Amino acid sequence: MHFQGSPNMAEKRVKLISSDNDEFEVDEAVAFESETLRNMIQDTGTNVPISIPNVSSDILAKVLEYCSYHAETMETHDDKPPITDAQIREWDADFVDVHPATLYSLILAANYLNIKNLLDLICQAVANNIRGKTAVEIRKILHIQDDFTYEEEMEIRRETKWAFD
Amino acid sequence: MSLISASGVDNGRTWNSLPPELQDLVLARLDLTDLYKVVRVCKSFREVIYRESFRQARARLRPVECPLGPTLFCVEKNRWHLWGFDWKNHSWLKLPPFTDSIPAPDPKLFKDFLIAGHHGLICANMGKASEPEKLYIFNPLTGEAQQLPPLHHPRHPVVISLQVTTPGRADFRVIAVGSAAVGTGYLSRKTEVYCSVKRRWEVAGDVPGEDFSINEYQTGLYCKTLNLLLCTGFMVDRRKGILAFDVGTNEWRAQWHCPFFRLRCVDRAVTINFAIAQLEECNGVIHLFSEQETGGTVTHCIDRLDLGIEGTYTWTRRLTLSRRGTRALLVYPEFTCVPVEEHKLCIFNTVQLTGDVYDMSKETVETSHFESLPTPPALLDNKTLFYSLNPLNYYFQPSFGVVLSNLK
Repeated sequence: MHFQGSPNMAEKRVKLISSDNDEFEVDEAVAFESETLRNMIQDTGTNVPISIPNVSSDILAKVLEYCSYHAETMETHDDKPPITDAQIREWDADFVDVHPATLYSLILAANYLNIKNLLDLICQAVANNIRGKTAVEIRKILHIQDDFTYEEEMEIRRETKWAFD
Repeated sequence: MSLISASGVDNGRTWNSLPPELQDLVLARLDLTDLYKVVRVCKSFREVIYRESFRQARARLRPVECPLGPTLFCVEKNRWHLWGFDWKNHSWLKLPPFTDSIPAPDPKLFKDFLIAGHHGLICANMGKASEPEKLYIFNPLTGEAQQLPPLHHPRHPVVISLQVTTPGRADFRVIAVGSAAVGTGYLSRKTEVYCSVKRRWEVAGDVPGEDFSINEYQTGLYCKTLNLLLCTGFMVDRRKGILAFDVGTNEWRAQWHCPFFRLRCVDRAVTINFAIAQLEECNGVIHLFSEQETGGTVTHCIDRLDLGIEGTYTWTRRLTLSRRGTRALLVYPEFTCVPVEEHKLCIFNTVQLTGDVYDMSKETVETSHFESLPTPPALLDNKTLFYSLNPLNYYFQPSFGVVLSNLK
């Protein structure tokens, strides 16, 4: 599988291997969006494919789609107007409009690959899903078990009543 | 639009498969009001605000939650809360109740309690007049509290100043000055400084001038650029003015001279009574808010104070208002002046809970043009209101970024 980034022949290409052994090839600038990859490349160079053992190919594709777009927003082209902040926000909003399971996988991947902006973006998206929701709704959204005993439940209701008044 | 959701790939990841520190990165993005509601979700959520990973993420995202001012204390169903006007969300906000580790003061004795605040922390004297001082330091967001050791000279100070010296590490300093108790004049001059690193009080130099030079409850104003704590009181020449404590040398500036501003046209023989004289800072500019009575006329004034390095000073009158209603209460300041947004000051009536906001950035402050503070929601319904003598200068910045280590 080859990732369709914006190929730039003048740039070095980096090979990445996902946990399920798919190979991705991207511009160095795209890989550099990840602090983890940047450190690895600076240590070992671009000749050897870099294996990313805990990110699956579907998630890695998604991560690279993000890195590729954001690396591109940094570039300046004479023939194209620069990408505006509003356009970036719109792109980001579309990007996070995915199944929650994908968001959780992206959090893990962004954390491992150390892509701060992606991690912030995904965390905010998950937080937005639970904003203003009741405890019952949040348990449902996040598939969390209510692990309080009846006594604990009553106690915490008393303790937190002020926040609901 | 996504390849993944379209292909229906679900690799089985759930919220619970995230390690707690990554869950905390998400929860750190909730609004303050939501944070205290999600604790009902499960045990892990209940503990969130105490976890280091949450604290670090929150402090990075929001070093300060919001600027709160004016602030008020209220007792609601026997629990104490700090309320404040939140300028970020433009609405009144209630902070969590005081925890059991802080002895709740008796509402009837509210004027006995002096409270200071700075960058997420509050320092309060919760000792009743009949007992020794009890100085507590706490973070109202987390409920973490410590009692400070007793003062070397036990007394109820008239000045408590709190300075968080390293935000994020909760290194702080408390300066306690004087006492207004009758019959113990020498205590009125005592100054002690508490350092959170050394964990002890140190006796500093005495207040210069006569006994009871500083006899009005206040939090003072710490001027960072000059490293001075400024207080209002009687100077060595017995005139009303500003006294300065040098935080670097732990001594009062004996030669310091900075009388309050008087208009030149005012006859020197006419007495000006300062019912209120309160220092505050707004965008690095020091102001004195005062209520002055001259020959039966009561006015509110805001004077800008510019201090030079060599002890020089310049006053500039910024605003004069004729006071509405009758003369001020003497028990506690009925009016207070609070820095709110950028270059804006609010003159707040602590009894009627109304406030007028003036824009100080203009060369001439328009007194006819002001913004009124929205009325606090149902604050008066079945709830007891509480004012301290000088709560936090009525301004506070709550923060999760200051973590109190245990004093033990």
